Amino acid sequence: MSPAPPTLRQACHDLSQPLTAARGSLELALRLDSHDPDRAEFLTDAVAALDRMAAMIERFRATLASPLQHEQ
Amino acid sequence: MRILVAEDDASLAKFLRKGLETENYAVDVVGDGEEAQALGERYDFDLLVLDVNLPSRNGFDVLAHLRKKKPDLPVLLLTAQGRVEDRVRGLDLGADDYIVKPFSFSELCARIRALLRRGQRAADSTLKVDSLELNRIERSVQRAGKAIELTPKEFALLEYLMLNQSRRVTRAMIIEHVWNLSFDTSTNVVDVYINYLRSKVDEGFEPKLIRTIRGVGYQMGPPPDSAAAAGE
Repeated sequence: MSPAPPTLRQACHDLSQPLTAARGSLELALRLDSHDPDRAEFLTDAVAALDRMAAMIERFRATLASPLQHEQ
Repeated sequence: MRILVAEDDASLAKFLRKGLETENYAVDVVGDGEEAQALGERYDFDLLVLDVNLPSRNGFDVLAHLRKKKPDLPVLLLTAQGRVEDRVRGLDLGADDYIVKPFSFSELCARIRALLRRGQRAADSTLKVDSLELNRIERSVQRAGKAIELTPKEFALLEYLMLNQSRRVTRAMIIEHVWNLSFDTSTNVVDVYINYLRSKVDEGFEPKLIRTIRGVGYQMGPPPDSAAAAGE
């Protein structure tokens, strides 16, 4: 049996975590000089968070054989 | 300023730690509600950033418990739950503010600064020792009217020393408040940073304000003889 599709609320909740991390890491990177080693780390973290988001979206899509459950 | 962050999402917790450290705060991060409650109760933090969805004990329960033990501790809730009833619940339980994910780091920092300002009496916003002045709101330092540029960690160290002026503070106390609880206390990082600070706030000025107390640690304030002379 395939897992129950996430509710819209759950999907939004799950996506908000890596989205916050990606956004925050980019904000921090933009504050730094281009040769600051921390900048590269923040950018790497942002990309990792975006990769997590992409993976989540892919998982949500896979469960969308049936429409997303709408909460009552 | 010392902040406890309770957030179970590892990447989010990492960016919060690093980001807040760049803003001069000493940051401790925990990933579950039990730990947040234990540390919040045991140590003196200036602010708690508390995620609502935590394993082992959710943020609302932690908040309700800590509010009874630490009524003055400012608490900022991090929530992915944008529902009005959740926000009302958090505020009714004693949260001072909340921010909904996804949020901008700049907005988070602004809310933290606002909460810390609210908690500080106006008189506490400027610390003064002899001719040395530190403004906690503007995050600026000057000695005898001359502006001094400090790195975030130097600022945090000086702020801690000035908050404890005329008191002896050990290296362990400094590490606990200026770095974080997991920092290796066996390193000489405190002495290194004290030297950086001395070169910026004491070099070229009299009296010297950062004093080494042999076998103990450090003390901020003019030497006893100079204080007596100034009082004459």
